[in-house]
Amino acid sequence: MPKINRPSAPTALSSPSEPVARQQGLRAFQNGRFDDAINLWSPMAAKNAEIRHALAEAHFRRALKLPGVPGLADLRRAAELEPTDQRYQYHLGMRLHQDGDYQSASVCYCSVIDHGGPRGAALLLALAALERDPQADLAALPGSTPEIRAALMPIQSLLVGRAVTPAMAQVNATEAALGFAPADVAALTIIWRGLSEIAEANPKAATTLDDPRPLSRPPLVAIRRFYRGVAAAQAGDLVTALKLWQQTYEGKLFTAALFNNLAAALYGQLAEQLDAGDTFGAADLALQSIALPLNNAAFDELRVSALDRAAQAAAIAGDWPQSTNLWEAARQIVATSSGLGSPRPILRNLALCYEAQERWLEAADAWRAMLRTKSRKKSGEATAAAAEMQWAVVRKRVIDCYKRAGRPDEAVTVFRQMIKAEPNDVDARLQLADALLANDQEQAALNEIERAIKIDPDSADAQMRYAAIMSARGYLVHAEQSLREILNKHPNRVDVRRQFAQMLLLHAESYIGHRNDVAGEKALLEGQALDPDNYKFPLNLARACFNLKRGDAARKHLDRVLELAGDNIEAYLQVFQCWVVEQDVDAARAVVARAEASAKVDADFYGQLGALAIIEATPPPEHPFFGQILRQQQPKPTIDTPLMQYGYELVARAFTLSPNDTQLRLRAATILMGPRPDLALTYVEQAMHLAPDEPNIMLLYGVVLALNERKREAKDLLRRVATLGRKQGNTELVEQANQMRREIDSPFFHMAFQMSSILGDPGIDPNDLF
Amino acid sequence: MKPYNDPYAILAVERTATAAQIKQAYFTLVRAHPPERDPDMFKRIRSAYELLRDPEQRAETDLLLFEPWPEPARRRRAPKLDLSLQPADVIIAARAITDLDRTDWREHYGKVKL
Repeated sequence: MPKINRPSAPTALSSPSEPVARQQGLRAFQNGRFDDAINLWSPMAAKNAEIRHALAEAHFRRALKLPGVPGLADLRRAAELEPTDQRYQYHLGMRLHQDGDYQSASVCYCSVIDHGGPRGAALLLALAALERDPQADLAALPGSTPEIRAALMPIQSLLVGRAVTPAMAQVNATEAALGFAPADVAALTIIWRGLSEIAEANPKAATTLDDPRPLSRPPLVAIRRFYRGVAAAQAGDLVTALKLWQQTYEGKLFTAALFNNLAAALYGQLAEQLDAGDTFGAADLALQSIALPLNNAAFDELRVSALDRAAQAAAIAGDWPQSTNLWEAARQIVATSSGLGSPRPILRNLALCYEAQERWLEAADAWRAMLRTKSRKKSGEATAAAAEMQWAVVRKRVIDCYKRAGRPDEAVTVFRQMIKAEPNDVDARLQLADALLANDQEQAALNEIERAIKIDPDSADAQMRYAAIMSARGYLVHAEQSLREILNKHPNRVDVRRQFAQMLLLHAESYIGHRNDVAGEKALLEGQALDPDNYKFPLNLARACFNLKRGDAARKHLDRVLELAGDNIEAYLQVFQCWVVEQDVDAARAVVARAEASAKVDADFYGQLGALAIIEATPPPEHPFFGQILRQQQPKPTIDTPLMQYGYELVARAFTLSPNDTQLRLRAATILMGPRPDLALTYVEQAMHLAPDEPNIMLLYGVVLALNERKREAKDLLRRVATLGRKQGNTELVEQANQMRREIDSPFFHMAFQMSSILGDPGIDPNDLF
Repeated sequence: MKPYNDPYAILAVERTATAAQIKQAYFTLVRAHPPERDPDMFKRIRSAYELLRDPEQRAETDLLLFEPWPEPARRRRAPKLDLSLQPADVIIAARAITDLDRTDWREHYGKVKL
């Protein structure tokens, strides 16, 4: 048989030997580590009296460190181990007494009295008897003495509702029975009398209890102060009462009616302030009382109402930080109070408040907390559509705020948790998809949308998102087909119709951009059928028709744009641009006339039109690289065309309408300095004339002078601008002027402006400027 | 920080107003503040109406307005002062004059000799 290596038997090495354990326990005991001492001594206590005694003492010491029930167990154990030691019985009795077990406490006290233990036992036995039955016959109790009965006489009288007479307060007797300092005993006598007067609603109580003598026992201080407040309230002085009760609370010793009376007094004050229209005063009071655990629903209700009103007023006045503080306090009350209802209104207001301050993370958390207040859907329960719509908005805010806070991943977590709770909730899955998109997880979003479609194949919202992703990925036909199908299933869904039309418009622009005008036209016609009042469809149809050399059809589409334009200036500008691109001055003039008749036109409008006409009428400049070759092949183009003349005319009309508008001239000069530096010079000189010391105009003037080959003047001017900037302490201006001065001599200076003209982009969009 | 804007307040209608009531209020206000005479007010009225005319947009707008803390359906009983002498307080005071309130028990410590 093969030899098996058996595991060796456990040795005593893991636990110390008895003498060692005794000494280790002693060291632990002496260092106040009673747990260790108890662990080490417990196994040996049964057979060793010394250790049993030491163990009992360790339990006793630990009990004195531990308040309440854990201490009680230690005292029981100490008394078990050393039943004759009356110290343990005495403390066990006190702990049982404090715990309300008067019967067991009395047994312990009796044992102590019988065995001559600590002298306080007789007094405590009498007190326990009084606490059980205020009518108890104290004289019949073991150990009862006349001093003890005299000391407890005022207490018994108060408990049974009898007046405390001066004769009851026998200072010497009490002192002898209790071992009190004479000063404390005297103050105590006053307290008993004052409490007796309170019980009788005697107005003298206020004077009696207004006793400045110090007391060594904190509970007596609290009782005296609280009942001074009661006396003040009995006399109708609630302000003093409230002050004294607040001081009692701050002393951290709470009398039986303290919280009730604080709530009642504060409630009255708060209601008065609100009735008087003192919203902010009421909110201040509510804030001051925020930490009080008053647990009174009516008071909490009023506090929340006061805080909410003041917060709204502060927000409307633009003081968002103040409104945040107030709503945060309201949120705290609603969270800790029972029966106030849903915290939803406060969470919503708080979320809006954080949003207004761009505290996005806190806003997201508040929206998220609001989302948690939504009740779970029950099967078969029809939820109101409007409410669902609002929850959808809340979810969007969660995503948006986390995104703005730079934490889109948090939104993903929120919706993943929601889906874990309700895996078939299509809305939650779609919101998760939105959150994933916001977190740049497009494929994960698509997976989630596909899962939603699997759960509900007819979900228009899911299909719309699916189509949007397909469109973004370039699967234009697939995306269109998907939306076409869902629209067939939901012909009344305005949002589907709108999204499909918008998508067709975008796709058409892409088709036309890739010279696929036929596909573009087809998409636009389908989109126009879905959104017939959107002028962008006929406008783009016209552009496609021009490309396809179908001028008549284009004209019809542009007429349709003008029918739809109404007072929309932008639509007139776009139609005007189509005609100037086609170099059709008459048609362009007709558009302007129509705009003048139908919309409110101004100098800016004419300025834009003029700039568009001039740009389109200006032949492209020589190419900086191939100019030499091209010049030999083409005749020099003329610039004095009817369209150019019309452009001048429109700009002149703009300037006539706003004769002192420097910005208008500046904008015209900026647009035209690439294609027509000569004209730009005229306009910027006019602006200079109107505002000769304006640094921005001077800078532009310098550039335009250089573009007109007047470099020396340009440099002089820019040097002057730099000097002006230095005088004004405007370092940015100095830097700009110096940089421009350096760039004037660069070969790239002219080239940049010329290239932008050749590419048909002057570098500046007139729409951005006017 | 952006100012708070309540389109219902601008149009002077209740939050519960129907679409027809909102439309009516809008036209009434526009007649009172035509764009050529009062362009700023007209703009405010117009943008308020834009926020409320479409049901979906209105749902979003509603959510972005402050919601007043609701009046309780049932008025709660206001707390009342209790100015009587509480027996529990008498007992607190009584206990305070006994060993029950004492915390320093060093004189009761026993010696341990091993």
